[in-house]
Amino acid sequence: MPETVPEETPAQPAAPSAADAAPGAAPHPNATDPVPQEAPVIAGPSPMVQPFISGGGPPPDLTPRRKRSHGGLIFLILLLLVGAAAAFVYLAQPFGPITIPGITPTPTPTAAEAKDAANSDSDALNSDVDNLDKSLKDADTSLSDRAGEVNE
Amino acid sequence: MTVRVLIRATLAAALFTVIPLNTVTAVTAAPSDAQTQRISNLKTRGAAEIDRRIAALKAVQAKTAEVKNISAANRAAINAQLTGELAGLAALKAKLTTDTTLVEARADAASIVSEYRVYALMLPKARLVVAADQFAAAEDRLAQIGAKLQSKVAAAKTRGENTAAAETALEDLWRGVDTARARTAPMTADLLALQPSTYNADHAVLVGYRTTMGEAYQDIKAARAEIAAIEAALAASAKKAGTQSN
Repeated sequence: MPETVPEETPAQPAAPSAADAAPGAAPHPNATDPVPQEAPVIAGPSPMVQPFISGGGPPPDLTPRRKRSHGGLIFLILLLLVGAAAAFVYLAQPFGPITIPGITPTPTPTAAEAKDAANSDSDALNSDVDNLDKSLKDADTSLSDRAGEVNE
Repeated sequence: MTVRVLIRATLAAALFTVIPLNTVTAVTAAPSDAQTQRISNLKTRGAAEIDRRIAALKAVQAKTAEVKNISAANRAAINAQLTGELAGLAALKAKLTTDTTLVEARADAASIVSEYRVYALMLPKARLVVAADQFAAAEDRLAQIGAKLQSKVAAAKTRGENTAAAETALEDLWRGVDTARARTAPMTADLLALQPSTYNADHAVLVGYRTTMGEAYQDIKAARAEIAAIEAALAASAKKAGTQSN
């Protein structure tokens, strides 16, 4: 069987750089375009500084002036007023007791109720004292009872 | 021969004469009329004494059953002891009726006193146990009152009132409660343990208990007086605070 020799693909010549290309010569099809170099710009003084440098007056304020709004302040004052009114209605209860769902209101005892409670406490104490006196009297009676007792 | 017959007849007659004498000698162990009378007297008197004691015991038992301010345990313990005495006395009464000798009757009559000590020990003991429990109930009531007054004093102090006088009186009240409790707390158990034999050994066995209970009574009375003092002090401090605020 005859031996087959593989064909070699011819090597492509490297693209010459733009610098390497001879002046006037036709550009190589693979050559990159040269980037145009800008000449460096030397910055001068800014327009804002210029007048000072040149000794002129202040620059005119060319920005449009924003009109200041008081909406936030008004909202805050209104919020405070509403809060104060709510607190007054809740605490002073000018329209009767307020019940908030889920919160059991703590009844504020009136003076009469407080007096009744004090009287009730006093009555309970007096009752306890009466019972104490009865117990003490019973004990004394039992202690003093010598009926039928003799030294046998 | 005739003489012999005469001798034999004489001896026989003498023998028959002696027999009744021997019989009389044997009867001397049985009570005479006087002794029989004494036995009868002991039985009658003993039965009456037993009945008197049974009546007294039953009266105290009934009173103990209905008395207030006594613990169920102590009520049951006293009842059991009194029931025991009643059963013993009933058995003794039955035995006394069957006594045939003066010695037996005397021993049984004496045991009415020495074995049961109804008047000297059991009746006063039952009453002292009841009294001790009643003192304990009074002490508990006093402590409850003290707790309420203490809350009042604390509330007054929180309000900024001057409660120094009330606090001093309250301390006196608590001291009285504690002292009375210390006196009466061990008393019921000690009293219930006393037996007629204890009294036989020491006739003054109840004196100490009675004295101690009298002291407890005075302690409770003194503490009781502090209640009014505390209330007066609280009223004065409240009035003073009201005047100052106005």
